[in-house]
Amino acid sequence: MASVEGVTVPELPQTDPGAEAAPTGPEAVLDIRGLTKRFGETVAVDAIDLAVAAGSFYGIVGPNGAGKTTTLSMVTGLLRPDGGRVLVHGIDVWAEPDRAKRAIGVLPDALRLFDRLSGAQLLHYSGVLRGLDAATVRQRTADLVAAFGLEDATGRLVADYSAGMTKKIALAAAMIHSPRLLVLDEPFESVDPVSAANIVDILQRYVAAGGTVVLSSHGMDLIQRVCDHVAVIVGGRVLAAGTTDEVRGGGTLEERFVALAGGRRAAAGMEWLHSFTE
Amino acid sequence: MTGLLVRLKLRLLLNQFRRSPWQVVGLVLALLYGAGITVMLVATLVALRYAPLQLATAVTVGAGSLAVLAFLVVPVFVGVDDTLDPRRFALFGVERTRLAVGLAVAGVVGVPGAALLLVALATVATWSRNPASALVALVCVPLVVLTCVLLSRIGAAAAGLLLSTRRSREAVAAVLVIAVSLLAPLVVLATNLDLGRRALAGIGRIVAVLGWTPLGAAWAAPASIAAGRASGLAQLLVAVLTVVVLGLVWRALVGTALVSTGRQAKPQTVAGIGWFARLPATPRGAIAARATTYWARDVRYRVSAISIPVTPIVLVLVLGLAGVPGSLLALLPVPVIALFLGWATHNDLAYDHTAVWLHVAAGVRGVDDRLGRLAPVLAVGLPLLAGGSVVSAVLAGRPLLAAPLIGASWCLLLAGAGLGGVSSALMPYPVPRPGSSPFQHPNSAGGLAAVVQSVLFLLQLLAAAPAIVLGVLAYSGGGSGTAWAALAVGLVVGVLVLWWGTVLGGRVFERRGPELLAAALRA
Repeated sequence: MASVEGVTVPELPQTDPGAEAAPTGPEAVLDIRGLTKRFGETVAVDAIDLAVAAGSFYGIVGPNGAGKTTTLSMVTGLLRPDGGRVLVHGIDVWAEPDRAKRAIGVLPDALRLFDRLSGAQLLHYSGVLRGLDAATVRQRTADLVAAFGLEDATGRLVADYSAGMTKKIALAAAMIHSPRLLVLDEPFESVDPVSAANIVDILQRYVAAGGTVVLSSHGMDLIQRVCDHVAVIVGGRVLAAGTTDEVRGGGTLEERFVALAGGRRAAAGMEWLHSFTE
Repeated sequence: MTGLLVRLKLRLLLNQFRRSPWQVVGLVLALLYGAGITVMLVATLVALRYAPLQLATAVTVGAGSLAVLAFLVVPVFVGVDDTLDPRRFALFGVERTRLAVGLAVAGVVGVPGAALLLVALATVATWSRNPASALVALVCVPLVVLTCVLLSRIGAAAAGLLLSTRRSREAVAAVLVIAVSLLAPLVVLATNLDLGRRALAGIGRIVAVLGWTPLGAAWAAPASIAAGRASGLAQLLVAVLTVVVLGLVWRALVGTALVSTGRQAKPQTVAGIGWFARLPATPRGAIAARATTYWARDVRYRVSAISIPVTPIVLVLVLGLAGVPGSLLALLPVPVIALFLGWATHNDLAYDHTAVWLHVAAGVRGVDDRLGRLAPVLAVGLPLLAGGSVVSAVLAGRPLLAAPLIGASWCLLLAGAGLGGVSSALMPYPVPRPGSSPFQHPNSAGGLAAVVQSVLFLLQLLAAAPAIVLGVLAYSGGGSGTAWAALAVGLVVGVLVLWWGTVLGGRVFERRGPELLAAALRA
């Protein structure tokens, strides 16, 4: 039911014409209004509007440097916006951060973990910081470790994990307090296909139970297959948003994305690449 | 290839100035410091032109050999300048001899290389006593520079190959801290021993031997010629051979580095959840458990943990050699430990680096964060200082002084912790990153770090001043009333500053969470 009013460039087709205003009320678990972030002269996020209904599996796609991570950081309370509002379950993240943050589980991209802790210690730490008691943390840790296939790694320091394992333990830590909304920045990066399928399975069951997932990814096939809603962010603006079928129109999500992101550069003038250096 | 690498190095150096103002300030300070030392050395060497021959020889060969040794040893431990690590060029398919030559020449470019070149040129002035020695000195300039640069490249590359695992680096770092701490009193011992002429004769013999080793040959050759000894030519030959051998070793190392990966460490395993199981499962307890685990496991904390008790030992040794009476000496270590222990908390948050996002995203209460981080320091520090105070007072022969000692040292620790609670949330400055060498300070730390460090030091001393003054009065003949007053005042002031710092620092932490994360991202 998430309908979205993207701040669209006029000549682009409105993908969700039914939505004049973003829906308010309890069904929008995440409601972003006019969110803006500038770094010096550059406008990284340019007055983005986005609404995510409860129970949706929402994908955010965009080229490198489009402002995805910046947006998600502002949603989760990690980066102070220059303008606009973020409501999570009706609570303003930047006015009442303590209440809002309880409802959010976060997997940031390119931030460190407390990696001198073992996997089990990191999960415990994340759970207790979120206010869980010891017994609950113990039981959920066991479940998460089994679900993510980390049984052999709980005693090892996270610093010694591979990139994919680090991603998995961070993802497990993000959901240990059973948040209403999971905000995942690049959850599948450097994760092997079997583990990725496993993670998708966990997330789909979470969504089926009423949870909401917002994730960013460069894997178009995966987003098209898994997400029921998609937003395309280019240059700090939402160029298209809506259900996955609406956004991709007749073609694949990848085709639509490449068209929106400025099209493929014709590989002219690269003939030297076809005569090889000895 | 060589020209390209030199230009790369120059570009990297120049780009250091295109950073934030604080970083440039730090860099300029470092440059001025280096320039000052270089000017001093050059002036000394020129002045030695008019000194007795024996003295000039002893200074140039002795100090020169030490400098050459430093060029080998420092990169092994500190891992300086890995911008020119040969492994970074492994994928370009450059022929190894050309790469080895290029990297060695590019290694001269930089502050240490430039300083070395100027200092080596100054020896030409030292040995301008006759044309022959001046000529040999001039020939030796490139030999000295090449020897030093090759040694530093070999040291860095060998360390990169052998010490590439996290644990071996940490072990070496810990050993180095202890070695350096113990070296200081040894130097004092050596200089204080009144051996007079015997020492000078000993140095003369050492220098004579050094002149024939790779470390000193290039420095000794012009000295021998100036003394009219033809053996200088043989020393010149040793210097040339040194450069040739080092060149071959360097070429071989480049070849090895190009085709090898780092060693793999055997991963460490932890049974259960350690401290987390022993401390309460609340945010405050969990943060305390995490801080305790890091003090025990993270080499950057371990360096502080080792050097805090070592510093006063060094201090006592130095003062003892300088003739300070034992009864006063016994009273000094405990307050000094308290001072450094309290001060060590002032930048605690920066050690998290960007991992602090977890505290921000979880909306951790500021007070929980502040007190949790302090828990291991206070839990270990307070009883240790109390016990140490009693032992010190008994050793000094005046048990009553335990009271002012506890008062002053607890006040120093508590006030340092309270002040640190505010400053770590208000002005964190960059520290070595998790997993990197504890000596590899980011050059971005620069000016801000120095300002924060010295201001906090002064404030901490200021807060403890009433207790310290009363303690000094008690030492110099005040009655038992003064002694107990020092204890009371110290406790009250310490607790008040800690309470104030925790509340205010907690509020700052909650308000500035995203900014703290942004600062960590820039670091």
